[in-house]
Amino acid sequence: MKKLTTKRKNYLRRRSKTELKKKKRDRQFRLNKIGTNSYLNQLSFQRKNIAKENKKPGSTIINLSPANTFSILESPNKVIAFIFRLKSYAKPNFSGYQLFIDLANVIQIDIGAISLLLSAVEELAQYKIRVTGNIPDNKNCNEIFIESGYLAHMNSLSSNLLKLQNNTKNSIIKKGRDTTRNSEVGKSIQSAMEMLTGTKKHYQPVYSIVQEISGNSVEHAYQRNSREHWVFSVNHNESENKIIFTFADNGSGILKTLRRKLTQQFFDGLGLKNDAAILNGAYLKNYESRHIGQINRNKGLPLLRRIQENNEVKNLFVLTNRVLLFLDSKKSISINRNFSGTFYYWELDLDCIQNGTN
Amino acid sequence: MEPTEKASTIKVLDFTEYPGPRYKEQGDHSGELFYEKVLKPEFDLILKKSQDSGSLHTLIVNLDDTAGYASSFLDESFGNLAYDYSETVVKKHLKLITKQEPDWNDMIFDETLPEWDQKKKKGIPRKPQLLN
Repeated sequence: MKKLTTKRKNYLRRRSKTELKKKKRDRQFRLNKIGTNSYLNQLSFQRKNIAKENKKPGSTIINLSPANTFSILESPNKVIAFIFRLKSYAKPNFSGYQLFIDLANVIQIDIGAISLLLSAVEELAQYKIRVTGNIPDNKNCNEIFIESGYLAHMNSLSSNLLKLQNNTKNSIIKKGRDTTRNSEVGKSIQSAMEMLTGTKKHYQPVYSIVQEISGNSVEHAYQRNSREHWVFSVNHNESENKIIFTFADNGSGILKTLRRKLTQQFFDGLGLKNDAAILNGAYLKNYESRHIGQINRNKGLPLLRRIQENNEVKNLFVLTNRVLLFLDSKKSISINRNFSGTFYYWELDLDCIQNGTN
Repeated sequence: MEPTEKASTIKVLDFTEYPGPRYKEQGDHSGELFYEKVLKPEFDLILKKSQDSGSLHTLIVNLDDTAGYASSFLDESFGNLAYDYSETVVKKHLKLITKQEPDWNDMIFDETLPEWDQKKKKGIPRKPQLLN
């Protein structure tokens, strides 16, 4: 074997030092990407951007934290304010950014808020924005978050979180863009019925709801050939033996669509003075189709109202633009920030099934 | 209604367990596709039988046992029948089995058929221009 010269030995020593420094630097960058303390490194997730070429080191990282009460049922305005902030980055000029969603301090969370979060993350991914984050410290919130199935839609999880995520069995999430994916939705509902009753079977009222609202979403997506998508989720609340369904899309929203074709003068003529009354009118078939002469249209939203009135589902509410409207009580909440899209929430228990199958 | 020798029965379930949206481009097993592939050919057959025999033949469509429906699936399927053959002819030759959701029967006969018949009479296209 040829003996190394002193010059060669010095070169190799220098190179190994440089390599070591480079390795250290890379490792530090990886750690910075997923968090700032050891807890985050143990329990973190990320939703990668779609295009690999945007994985450039050193891109801007923005930390975002919701209010401690991250619950659509308890604090809709706080949740929407956070979603609004998150979605404000869904623009081409933020492509390549990294958003870190810090949920560590959340002390109250619900499925509705998690579904909205997932829908927003999906939208960000379409703009090639990487989303990373952590999960709540609070034990109860931590369990709800893991059970929600949200993490199954992140591209990578820290090893500890991966173990926890693999144990979830009570949730299903389906996503779509330009088609209704009826067969997958139908099978999800059958599985939900199995969670609730022990028997895998159809439940027509819930299938009708999802078909109506996903049909609306894809019709608009198809027409505008845009980045619109929908997210449907099913969650079994074992302690109360009920299923929570949510559906979110990132379209314009019902009110914005109505206002595009009808004037305030028209609504005033019907005595509808505010957004809640105008939105409620859509569920009462007060307006004609936006397609001129298509008098056969607009049966879907009144059907949702009828299903709720027949108690075939319960607590059905819609959140769109600046209104949250409960279809059972007709009560509404004004939302400070515009929610660009439509979000539905409803529950199903054994009493509803009895009403819906008799 | 039980089938007689003068009635033919078809099941939506034989077309799909998971009926889809209104139009073909919106998803699988749409109302538009059901009309073109199943309902229209079967209705044509019924009309031909009535004409050939000189007696009334009826098409019975069983809506039960599927996962459920969007109103738009049913509206597009049965509405197109009224658009092509008129409300009167459809009401004469069509019966529905809807034990699981009796409201569909009322919607189709009281709303969909008259609305599509009116649409035809007013010269409004069956599909909005944007979607053609």
